[in-house]
Amino acid sequence: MKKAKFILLGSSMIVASFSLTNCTKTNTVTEPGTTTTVTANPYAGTIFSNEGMYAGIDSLNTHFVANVVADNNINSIFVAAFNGSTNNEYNFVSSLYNFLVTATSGPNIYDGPGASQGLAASMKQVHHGMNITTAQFTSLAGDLATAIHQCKWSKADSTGLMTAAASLAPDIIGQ
Amino acid sequence: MKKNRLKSIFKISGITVLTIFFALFTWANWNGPSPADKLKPKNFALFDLSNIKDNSAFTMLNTQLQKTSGVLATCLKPADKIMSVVFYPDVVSKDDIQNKLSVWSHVEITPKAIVATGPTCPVAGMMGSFSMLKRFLCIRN
Repeated sequence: MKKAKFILLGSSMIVASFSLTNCTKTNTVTEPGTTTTVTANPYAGTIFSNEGMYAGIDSLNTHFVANVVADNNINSIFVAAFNGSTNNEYNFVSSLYNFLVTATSGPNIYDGPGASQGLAASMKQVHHGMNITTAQFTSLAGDLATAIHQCKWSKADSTGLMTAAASLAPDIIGQ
Repeated sequence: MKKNRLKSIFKISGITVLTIFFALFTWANWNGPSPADKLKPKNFALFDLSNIKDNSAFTMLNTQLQKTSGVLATCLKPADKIMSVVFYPDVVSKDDIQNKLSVWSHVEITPKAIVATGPTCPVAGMMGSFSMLKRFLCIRN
């Protein structure tokens, strides 16, 4: 009897987990007076949307990673990503990707330390004690600018992302 | 008496392990996989090209490598004699790329070691085990 209760409890916990985890939010707008449901793009007009959304940022990030890895001014900062663990490589690539999605005004998916307080607060927390120099920051920004150029982004979006990146300089340099 | 005690220890341990598992399982599946988790995994490598004496070989290597299946991006720095490659590990491996570079250039190409010269970014290492666990337990698409 006790065993049966235990199994029942376990099963209900699994079912509860599934029901909770399958609650997905949909961004749909039903136009008044019609039966058509139009899927709205909540990111319309943002750099994220203009430059191909997730696929566009993925392409940018791939070039950005290649440029950072070959940048002798800063690649030693990311030595943890080079330590032979593919999981660390994966985390390095996905952290930069999440950062770029958020920085281009896409979904707020950056989940680094302190991310709940915003990108700037997280940058401050992540770079605390690292004494990042202006030269290192400029070098990284140069790698990003090169990647943007390689992906042939529009001038407005290029300027927009570089401005967003530059606005984080006080939270990164000299922390 | 001893048997009863052992039984209760097993019971408590079992319930504790199950609770921890369900908590982790729920946490891993709460928000579903992040967009980054939905991407095909990418790896990168940095190669030392200092054995190459002929500078014109650099461009040839870069062009050849960009045509290689599974290679997504390269960055050649002739002045530093290094080249980075971002690739899909399920299509081409780091060793494959290294072998190809050695064959094309007729000299031995080795991976370039990176040594920390100061404080390093903790993100890649720090979030490693958490994100690996989350990816492992997440069953949502």
